[in-house]
Amino acid sequence: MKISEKWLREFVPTKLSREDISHRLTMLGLEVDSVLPVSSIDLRGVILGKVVEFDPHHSIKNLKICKVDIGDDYPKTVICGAPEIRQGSLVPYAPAGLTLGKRQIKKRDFDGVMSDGMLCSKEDLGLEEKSEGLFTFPVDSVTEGQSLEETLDLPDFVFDIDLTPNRGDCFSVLGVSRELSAVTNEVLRSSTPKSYVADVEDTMAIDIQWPERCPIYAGRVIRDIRNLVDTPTYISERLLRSGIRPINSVVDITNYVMLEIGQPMHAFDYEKLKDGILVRESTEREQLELLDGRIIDLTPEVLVIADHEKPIALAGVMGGAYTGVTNNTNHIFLESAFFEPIALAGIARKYGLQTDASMRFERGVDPNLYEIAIERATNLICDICGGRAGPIVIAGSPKRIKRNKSITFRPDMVNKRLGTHLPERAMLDALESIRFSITREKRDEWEVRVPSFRFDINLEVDLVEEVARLIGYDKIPTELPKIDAQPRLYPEEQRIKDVLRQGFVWRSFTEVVTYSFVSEDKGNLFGAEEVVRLDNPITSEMEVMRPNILCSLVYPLLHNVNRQKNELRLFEIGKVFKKDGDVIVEELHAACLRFGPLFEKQWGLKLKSGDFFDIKGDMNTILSSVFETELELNPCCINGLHPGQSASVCSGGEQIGLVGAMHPSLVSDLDLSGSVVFFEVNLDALEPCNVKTFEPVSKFPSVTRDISIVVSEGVSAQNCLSIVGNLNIPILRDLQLFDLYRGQGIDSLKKSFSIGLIFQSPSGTLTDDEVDRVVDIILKSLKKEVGAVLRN
Amino acid sequence: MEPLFSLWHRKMAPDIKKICSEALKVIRLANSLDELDSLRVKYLGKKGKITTLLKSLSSLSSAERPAAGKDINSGKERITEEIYSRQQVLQDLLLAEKLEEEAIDVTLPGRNYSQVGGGHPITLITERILEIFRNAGFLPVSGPEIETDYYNFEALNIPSHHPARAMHDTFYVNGGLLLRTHTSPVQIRWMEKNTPPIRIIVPGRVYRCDYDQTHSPMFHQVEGLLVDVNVTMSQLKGLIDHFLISFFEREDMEIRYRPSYFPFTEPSMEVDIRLPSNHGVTDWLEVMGCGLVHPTVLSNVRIDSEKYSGFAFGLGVERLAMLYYGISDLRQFFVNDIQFVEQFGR
Repeated sequence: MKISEKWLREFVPTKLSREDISHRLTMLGLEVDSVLPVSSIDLRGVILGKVVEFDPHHSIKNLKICKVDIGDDYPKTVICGAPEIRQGSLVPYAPAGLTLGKRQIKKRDFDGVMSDGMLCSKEDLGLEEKSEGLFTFPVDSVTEGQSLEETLDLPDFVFDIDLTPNRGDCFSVLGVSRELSAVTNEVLRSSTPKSYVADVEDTMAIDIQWPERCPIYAGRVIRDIRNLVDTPTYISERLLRSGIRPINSVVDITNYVMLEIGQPMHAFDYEKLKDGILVRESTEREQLELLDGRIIDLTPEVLVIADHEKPIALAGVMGGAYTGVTNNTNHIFLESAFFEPIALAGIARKYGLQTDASMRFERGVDPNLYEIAIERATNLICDICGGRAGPIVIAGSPKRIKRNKSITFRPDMVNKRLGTHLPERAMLDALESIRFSITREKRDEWEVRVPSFRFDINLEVDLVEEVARLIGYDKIPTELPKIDAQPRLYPEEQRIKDVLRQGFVWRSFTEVVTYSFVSEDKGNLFGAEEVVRLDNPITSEMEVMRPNILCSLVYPLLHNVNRQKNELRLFEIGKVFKKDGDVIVEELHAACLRFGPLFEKQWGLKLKSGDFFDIKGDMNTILSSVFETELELNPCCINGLHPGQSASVCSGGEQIGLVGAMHPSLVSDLDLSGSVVFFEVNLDALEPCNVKTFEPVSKFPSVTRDISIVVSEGVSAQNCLSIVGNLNIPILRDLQLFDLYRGQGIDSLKKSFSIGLIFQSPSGTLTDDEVDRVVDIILKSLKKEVGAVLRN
Repeated sequence: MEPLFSLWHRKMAPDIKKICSEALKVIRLANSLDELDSLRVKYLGKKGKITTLLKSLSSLSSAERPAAGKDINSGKERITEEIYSRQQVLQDLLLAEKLEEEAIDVTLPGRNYSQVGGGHPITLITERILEIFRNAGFLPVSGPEIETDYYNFEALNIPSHHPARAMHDTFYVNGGLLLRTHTSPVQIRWMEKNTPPIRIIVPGRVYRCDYDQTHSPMFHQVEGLLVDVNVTMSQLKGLIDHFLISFFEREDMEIRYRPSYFPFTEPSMEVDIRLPSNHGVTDWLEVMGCGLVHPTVLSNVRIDSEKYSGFAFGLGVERLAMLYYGISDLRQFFVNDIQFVEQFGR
């Protein structure tokens, strides 16, 4: 909400400086976002001039020689290019010698004609950032020779107040002034307008058919107005300072009254209304063309104003185009109603419309205002546009409005909740300063009546906040919460994430944080999971929730490759989302990828591209820091992955992730110059390491035996290793597959694995015989299970 | 009587002298360990000159033998010693030569099989925040990112027609569910299952349907909740003061609390900070929102709001990260340019 400082000071004639006002309002909860001058330029010396005559310049095309009367005896000569100059135009005149902002006005010779100064546009005067044409004033309200500053009530500043949704009562100069006067202890200067005595008899029948949404609807006919007149400068200027464009006098006046006291109103063209006003629920298949030209489809649950033929306004939001008031309107019907906030609920969003009226009704407009507003507007309209008004017709009953709510309030609660030691007197003063009235029924329990304009006060605690606000939050002392010591362990999920993150980082990966939503294409790159779709995505790049992290890593991968990075190691830990039937499943995943060489180009080392076994090594090392689990890899064929270099990762028979290389055709689709290897695991499915039990270290020496076996190509390393592992040989401490050999000396359909076996006993030194026997058992079972033969 | 000039005197004694002096001379001149070794063989080997002399002792008379033996042995010793010392010299020379050969340019870059990566600033800042609150006894917990309307809005005192919903442009999924617009639903989930005293700190991703220079459709919040007996605004202010001073490590920071509005707290406040800088004092910067837990929220989770009170606070991680690191463009966080991400350490 934007308010002119001058206007505010009219209501609260305080001596406080602008900065102080801004600070006080902010500390009351009316956050002042900015305080900006109406014009950044010093306008002293600019005066209004009347163009008394003008002629085209004799030699320079498009220029005119104007005679401008500035109220003294000598009309000034001004050369001006503005095409809209008319005889009699009242425009700002800046005499030579004046400085406007950075521009110095000089006498200037235009091919033999001296120009005495300049006629100004709003842009020249710093009133608008960009404007076209001269700033032209309505002739009736100003005279030549008047200073511009006086005419525009300058210098003035605009407070831009960021109102929170609970403070509908502050959507007017009156509302903000009420708050300000409470903290400055000054009298609020607001007056009740005189009631206009009807001088015509015209009335309008009003029928409220949905009183729950519109308890009161008042209106009055005003005949014979001249809406062609210019809106007085003080009104149009204040509208502009509050960010509202002037349209025509009647509309400007209703907007002015809304800004002034907070009651939105609407004027209909009386001649276009058929037989009376209905306030009713809309029906299916009704349409309404709004003032802004849009045609909306109405549905039940929408409150409309209608005549006996069709809807004529979206209640509390915007009027219809057909019955709108134009410059040529002769008679109007002026509406001033109270719409319940619920009537506006969801309407703005449904139609993508947020108007000055709807914002106010949505938050609650003082139900005691409608009559004051209509009188105020009537007076202004009749003063400015002429016209004669009929009696005010009021439909509905004020009794329907829940107002003058009472709340039981224990003053003790204030100190209890705030941690203060305020005397009751201070609380009383605070509440009364903002129009709450207190009846003390019991000593420690008051009845507090809530003023009709406060829709946000319902509970005792709301009153606690009001007291706190008026006292000032800065007056609340600070102390630390008293906390009973509760020693405890750092929770598992957090710990796992931290340790894993460190693991990734020390293993050369850089963390990224990508959006949880991706384009549908990306979401379908890997695997065939059913994705969770956003109902209202912002862009097609963010339309589905990622089913895996890998697909969202593609974004930083491509970004950095396009930024001349030829090696990347990225990781992310975060949620992924899948659909399992109708249920949405969220899992915490960790994923990483390698692209390009394993390490930077450097002296003394040959570059090597990262491959499957590099990423597999990464996976085993990083996961082993948190999870004590045997990972089993099974080759798998998954959309987007290299069919010969990808595996599902299983733990305890359950699939927990994937490891592998991106499919070569995807790599080339993405325009990447090399392969990408990755792994991704579901952390929720992994059991974190339990506290390990101590295992004594054997003091006896260990014995190492290396065996080389020849097996068929189809036999996997994991086959061989698990055969040995499953033998559960107590003295076998460790085994490592340390070589893979194909070629000379070995059948072309076979390969050779070399396995290192490390034996150690906790109870004695192993003899060669013992070890030989065990190696023999191992070889026999390898032979039996996979036909392995000892290599010579 | 002994002959005046025995074999010893006539021949062997001078031989020894000669052999010794000759040996010592050539040993001192030996230039390599190989040469030295062949000299050892020449003099001390099985057929060496000294050995031969020793063997010929037997041809001497028993009277001469001890003195002659002593002479030969002392010669042998001197030669052995000389060989040893020459060997030392030669070995030292060799070592020196080897060391010189092995000298390297220590200024060449160190080998780097695997550089160290880096943490994302969002995570690093989240960690920093969590650490401070962990130390104050808050338990980090988390919750789902896809939520129901009840947990995200209704239970937090934001009924469906509440104007505050306009501040939460919500993404919907699967007709009815939504992406949480704040971390506050975790408050509700936790309070449903736990009884006071409650102290939790909740980091996480949140989503709003808003995308421009200063808004990201996904961002991160950290939310705190404390529910206990006699919890006050003044304690909330005290805790936040300490948090902000620890976080920014700035004792000279000004902190301001001003009234604001959140449906789930009452009274509510917004916290602003102001930092003196080289260019004078900056404007007030909004850093977090907080307040006493609204009694409706407490009653929604069946906590007696007469007996217990609580406070909650929420802050935007991106906002704090931007202030902490001096980052001006919010969108940088999610572009993940390596040159950007790598700057923040581990």
